[in-house]
Amino acid sequence: MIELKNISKSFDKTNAVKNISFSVLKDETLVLLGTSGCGKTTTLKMINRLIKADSGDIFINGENIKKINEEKLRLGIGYVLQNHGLLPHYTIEQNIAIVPNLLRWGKDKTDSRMEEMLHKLHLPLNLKDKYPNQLSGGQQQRVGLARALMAKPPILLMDEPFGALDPITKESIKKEFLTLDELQNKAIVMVTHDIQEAFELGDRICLMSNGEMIQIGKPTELLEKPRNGLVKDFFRGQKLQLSLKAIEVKNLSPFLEPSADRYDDAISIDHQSVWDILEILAEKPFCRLEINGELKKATNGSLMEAIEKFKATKNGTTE
Amino acid sequence: MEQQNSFFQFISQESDKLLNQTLVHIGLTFISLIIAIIIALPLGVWISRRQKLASSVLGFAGILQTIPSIALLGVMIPILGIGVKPAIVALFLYALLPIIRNTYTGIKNIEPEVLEAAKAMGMNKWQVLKQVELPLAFPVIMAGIRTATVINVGVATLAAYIAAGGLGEFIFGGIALNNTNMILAGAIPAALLAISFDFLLSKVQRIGFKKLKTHLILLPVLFVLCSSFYFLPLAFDGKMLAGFTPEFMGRQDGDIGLRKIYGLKIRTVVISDAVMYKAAYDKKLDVISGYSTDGRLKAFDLITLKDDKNIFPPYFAAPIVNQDVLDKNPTLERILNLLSNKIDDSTMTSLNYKVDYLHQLPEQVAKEFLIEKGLYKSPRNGNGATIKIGSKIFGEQYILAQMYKMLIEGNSDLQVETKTGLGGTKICFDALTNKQIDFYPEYTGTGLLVILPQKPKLFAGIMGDKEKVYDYVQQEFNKNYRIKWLKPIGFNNTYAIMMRRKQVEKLGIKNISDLKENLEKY
Repeated sequence: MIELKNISKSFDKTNAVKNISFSVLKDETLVLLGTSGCGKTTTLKMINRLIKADSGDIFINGENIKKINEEKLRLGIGYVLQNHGLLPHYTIEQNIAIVPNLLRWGKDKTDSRMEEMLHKLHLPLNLKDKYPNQLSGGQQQRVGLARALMAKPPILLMDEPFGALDPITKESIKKEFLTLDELQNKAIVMVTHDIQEAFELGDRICLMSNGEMIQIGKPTELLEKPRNGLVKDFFRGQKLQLSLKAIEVKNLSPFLEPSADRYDDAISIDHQSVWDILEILAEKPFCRLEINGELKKATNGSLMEAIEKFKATKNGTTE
Repeated sequence: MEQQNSFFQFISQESDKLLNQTLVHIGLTFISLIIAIIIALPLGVWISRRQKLASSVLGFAGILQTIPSIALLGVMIPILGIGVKPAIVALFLYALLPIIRNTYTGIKNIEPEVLEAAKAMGMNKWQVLKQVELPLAFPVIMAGIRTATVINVGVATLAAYIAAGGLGEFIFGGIALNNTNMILAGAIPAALLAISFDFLLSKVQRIGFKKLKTHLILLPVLFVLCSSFYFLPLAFDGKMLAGFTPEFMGRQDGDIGLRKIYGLKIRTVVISDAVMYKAAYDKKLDVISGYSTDGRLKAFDLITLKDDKNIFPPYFAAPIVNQDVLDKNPTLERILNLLSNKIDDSTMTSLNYKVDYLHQLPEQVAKEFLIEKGLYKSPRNGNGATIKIGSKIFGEQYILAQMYKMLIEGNSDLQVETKTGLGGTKICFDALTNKQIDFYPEYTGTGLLVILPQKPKLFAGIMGDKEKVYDYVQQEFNKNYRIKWLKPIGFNNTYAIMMRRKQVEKLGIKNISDLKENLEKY
């Protein structure tokens, strides 16, 4: 879907981005992770030509973006900014309708799509006539996302989309983000400096430092097989938590005891990580999990044992 | 003593003129404003794109702003002549800076993230400008237009100096004539215009671009409408054009007398005497109010029309001095009288010619004359008391002031300070009574008609006799102000109506009554 080949960019003699290449599949989320000033935002903005690359090429569906008209290219790419980037003199309705208007959609089509988006992002309809500064931070960010998704672009670029939110709002929006159907089947490139966020949201992570790409791969790969000391240092102190977040509970199913008695309080499992279950277990000695129709019993101890066993088999099979 | 007219009486008497001047004033303000907006707005947008040019463009517009308005008008005259054109150009130049600067700042102050978002969504440059930058910068741009409007209403008063009309006609006429009502009749409407335009535009500014969008077309229409006011008063006809100084316009022995005693009806513009003669020579004006000893009379081949109904009293020049100063410096009176009866009409005209037309320095002309008459002595550089000499703002007065300076410095140990270029009779006389100057050359007719309270019946009896006028003003000034009229210098610089020699010969006009008949013929 998106392919970067040997992209470099410098500003006033400092090399912001050095010779980066990667590709993003049409239904995956790639997170550009790194400290401030590592070149991740510059890389992101080169994809929709807000910044022009000095050298190298970017292809979208095999077509070099240099050959696509700037405006036409951007109309096909959703863009979410850290501070929502809503136009302060436009109402919420007008803000959301910007791209449809540029695409010359009819009013009916725009209106029904807008209602759908507001509904999906849990925004009340009466917000439409308000101005951005009358909304809470979380609402503003949701509107920003709605605006980016209005025309169903196949590509979505997000620049620290949760960066300006308080921790509680951030958690709830992240949860919505994971479950939003609009985000399935899209090539998403997201920039963040938050390691936890990268692990929760990314299918793959591209770790950057000083304009260079250090390692790219699945979250577990970066944890288990760091390419060098730099990668190891980056995750130091958070490794346990990250690895618990990187393991999905459903993979541990074979190693957990079944629970004989049926109770209504069983937690139905789809994408929860081990970390999520441990958080629940912080408040009670055990809980029941329903995984693919089977009922399992979990305690702190039994989860840890299951992880050990899982890792052993996984290593055994992969190596 | 005749009751001084109240302000409201003045307004109702002069309501035609006032309306006319107000319309011209609004017109001048908005014509220049529209041109300024058309040029400054795109320029402001352009420099917001090209950072490197911004400081030089803003710097240049800033320099224009610092040029004193009267000097800017003066610079315009050789290039554009007199009248509307130079006035509009000058006003336009003043309106540039606030509009360029505010457009630039307004656009620069938009959050970069907002612009990035607009671009990232797929807007092109024009869409970003039209839908994002201009609407967001609108309040700031409007503030700039407001500032420019208020500046223009103020500067437009100066347009009267170069025959472009406007409320300045009353203001400068009033200053020259010591007529407070007249000053207020110009100043109050000008202030009200500034305040009301500022208020209306502030309303527009607050409504905001977004809600205004559909009505935005009204704004230029309104501006154009206001501009067209300028042309309304020009609608009435007139085959000859007269240019009179602000002072002449309001004097009994001026425009008022011409209308009342001769019944002269002529289209009239107000103009500063600095450019009046040249304008007559260039056929921009047909009839002007000049001074009979003015050097430019000779230079521009102008003819004085005979005052056949005696509306212009004698204007013999003599220094008028504070009595206190004469008492403190007993030698002073003798020294100042050295000049008495030394300069006759033709001598004064040729001295004026050297200064006004040949552009010699007044000092040089004064010195040459004194040497020729054997009156010049090298300065003693004494350290006695300082005598402050004033002068009005035309060549003759500069020459006389210089002569007195040299005479005092050469014949006594007194020191001299000159305060030349005081803007009119009122300013000069007020400076004298407030002891900011010690003496200045004044004319008997001016003393009689402008400074002293009006007594028309008495005046009618003495008007034609120069001795009687001199005796009367000397006596009254001494009584009322403790100011002494010294001996007359000799020449009679009376007001005179002038026309081009060729035109006079062609039309067969000899006196003012002939002019009146000629105007009514068709």
